[in-house]
Amino acid sequence: MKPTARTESNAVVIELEGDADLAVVPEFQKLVREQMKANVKRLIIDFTKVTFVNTPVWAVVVEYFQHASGAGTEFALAGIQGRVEASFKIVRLGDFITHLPTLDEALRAPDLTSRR
Amino acid sequence: MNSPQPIASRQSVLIDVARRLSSTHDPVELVDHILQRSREVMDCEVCSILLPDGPEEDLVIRSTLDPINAMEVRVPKGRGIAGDVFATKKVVNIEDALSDPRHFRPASDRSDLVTRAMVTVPLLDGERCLGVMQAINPNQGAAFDAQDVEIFETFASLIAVTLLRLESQKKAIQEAENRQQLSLATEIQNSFLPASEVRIGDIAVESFYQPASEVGGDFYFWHEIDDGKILLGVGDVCGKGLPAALDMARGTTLIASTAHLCVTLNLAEWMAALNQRLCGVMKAGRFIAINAMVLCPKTRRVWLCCAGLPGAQVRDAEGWKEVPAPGNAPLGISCAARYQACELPLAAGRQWMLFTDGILEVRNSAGEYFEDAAFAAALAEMDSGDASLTRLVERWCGFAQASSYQDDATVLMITDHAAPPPSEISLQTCRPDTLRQMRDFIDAWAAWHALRDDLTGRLVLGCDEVMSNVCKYAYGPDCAERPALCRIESDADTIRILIEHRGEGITNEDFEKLVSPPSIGERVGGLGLHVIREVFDRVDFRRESDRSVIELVKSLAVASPG
Repeated sequence: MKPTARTESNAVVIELEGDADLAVVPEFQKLVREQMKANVKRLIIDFTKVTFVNTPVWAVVVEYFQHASGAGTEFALAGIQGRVEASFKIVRLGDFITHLPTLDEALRAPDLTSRR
Repeated sequence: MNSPQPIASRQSVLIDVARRLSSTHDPVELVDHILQRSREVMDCEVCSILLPDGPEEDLVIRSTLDPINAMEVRVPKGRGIAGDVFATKKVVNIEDALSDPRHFRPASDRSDLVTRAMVTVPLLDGERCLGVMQAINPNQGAAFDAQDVEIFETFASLIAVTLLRLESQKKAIQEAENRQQLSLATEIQNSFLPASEVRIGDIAVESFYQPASEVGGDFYFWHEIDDGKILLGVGDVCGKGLPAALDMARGTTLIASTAHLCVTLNLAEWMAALNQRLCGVMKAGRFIAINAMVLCPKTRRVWLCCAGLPGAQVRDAEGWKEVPAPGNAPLGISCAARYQACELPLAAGRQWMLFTDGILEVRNSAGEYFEDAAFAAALAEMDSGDASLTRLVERWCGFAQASSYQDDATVLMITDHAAPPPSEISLQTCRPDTLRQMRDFIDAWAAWHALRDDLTGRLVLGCDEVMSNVCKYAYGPDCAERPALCRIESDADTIRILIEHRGEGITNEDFEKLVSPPSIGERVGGLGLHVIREVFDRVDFRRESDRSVIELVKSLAVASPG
């Protein structure tokens, strides 16, 4: 499934689905860079429906994280579980990128920058 | 002097009696007839027959005199003239029985009969005395003469033969009844056993069941559980024969009624629960040894719990070997007993065998146990081709043929017919959209080999990282020819994955440089190599002829704690 972006009440949500692998990277990267240009105030990447993630996908996440840190954008990941969580732990991105168990929690969080 | 019947008349009576002897099956009727005819021939007041009865071998009197029959007179062993003749097997002919010191008064005192002359003859079968006959008070004369004694002995020999015939008939009837009862018992016991063969999906179960007699204490069982698991095993109740058969019935019933608990309990917990129930119902000193297995075709895992029986065998690529499972106490002895089971991948072997000790303990005519060498030889023979239980059974039966001692013997053989997934995948074109095929290949292989999901996930990720790098860097975006191959193999300790491609690979030195930080947070590239290092215990990049090879090794000892 292609990644999609939608605007919720207080954030833009990029949703991934199924296996997020090398084949998904170009589309995902395009979508993420669009959000960089748009200078959104709050971005959440939703992994709830994702079954597999490899490092080229995490690299796109890191790219946005680095952008967000400089631009003062609130940024978080949501719904990381199962094999995705195992992959997330190996790359240790959880040490510095905010991540919440569910999209709902991420949307309701008052300040994403303080919730790593 | 007596005036005996004419000899011709006596012979005619004898012939008539002889005819009657071979045509009458009712012993009481026959004895009464003999006594009546012998009294006629002996021309005397009373004729009696005294036969041993009961464990004390008292002589019980049957007489032509009804009052005596009504009194049911018993002469204790060794007492009276009858007892003396029974013991000595010698004829006694006396003129005045009352004055004979051997005379047993209680018998005569209880009737109106005044005993005078008496001849007593033994009923002989060779050296064995079957009883005695007495003729009392000749109607003519004061005593029986030699001719009387001779004819009476002839009667006695006829009767002895008849008694033997009746005894043999009675024995035959008793044996037939026993056989019928045992046949019924066998039928009932078999109703507690499942079918001897069953196929559940890819799992085939075969059994061999040989009780030492018509009924036995061995049993086997298999039950399909709701969640797709199969509970199966063999059992051996202590002792043999009917008591063991009854406990076998109890054991199999309890197993059947608790099998469903294996959905929520693990095998060790189920064995403990079964043990507690058996402890509540087994008589003191009785117990059941059980080797049980739970097999899950979905997750391709096996759990084994051995409680008092020889270790289970598994047949892998190298042959049959004993499964290293923890030993446990037989069931029904102590409620406090704890049970341990081991967990193995179903792929640890294509076949599994559970059996009772009766298989190993049988001895041949040379005094050798089947366990000594024949069992291993039979298993080795089964290694060639498709191991069939029939071959083991033939060997065992041949060995046991001349055995003087044989216990109940049971074997359960489980064969996994699931086709193994391929151990190699060849991608014609290594592109981002074909990498999923390689991930599916690793997933399928790992599932068949019952790897834990977290380990499988890491292997899939690690291999995908390698292939992504091959795709992106070794082949680059413009390369037209992009073949890749992935091969996977394992032994008890390690999983080894080989990835081959025709692009330009990196060296081990390159890998070391690339995988070294700056910290992960600071870099965008190099994460894949970091993952590869994290997932695998050894990574080797090398060039072999025109191919680049990446060898990835994962140690299972580290991967499978507990």
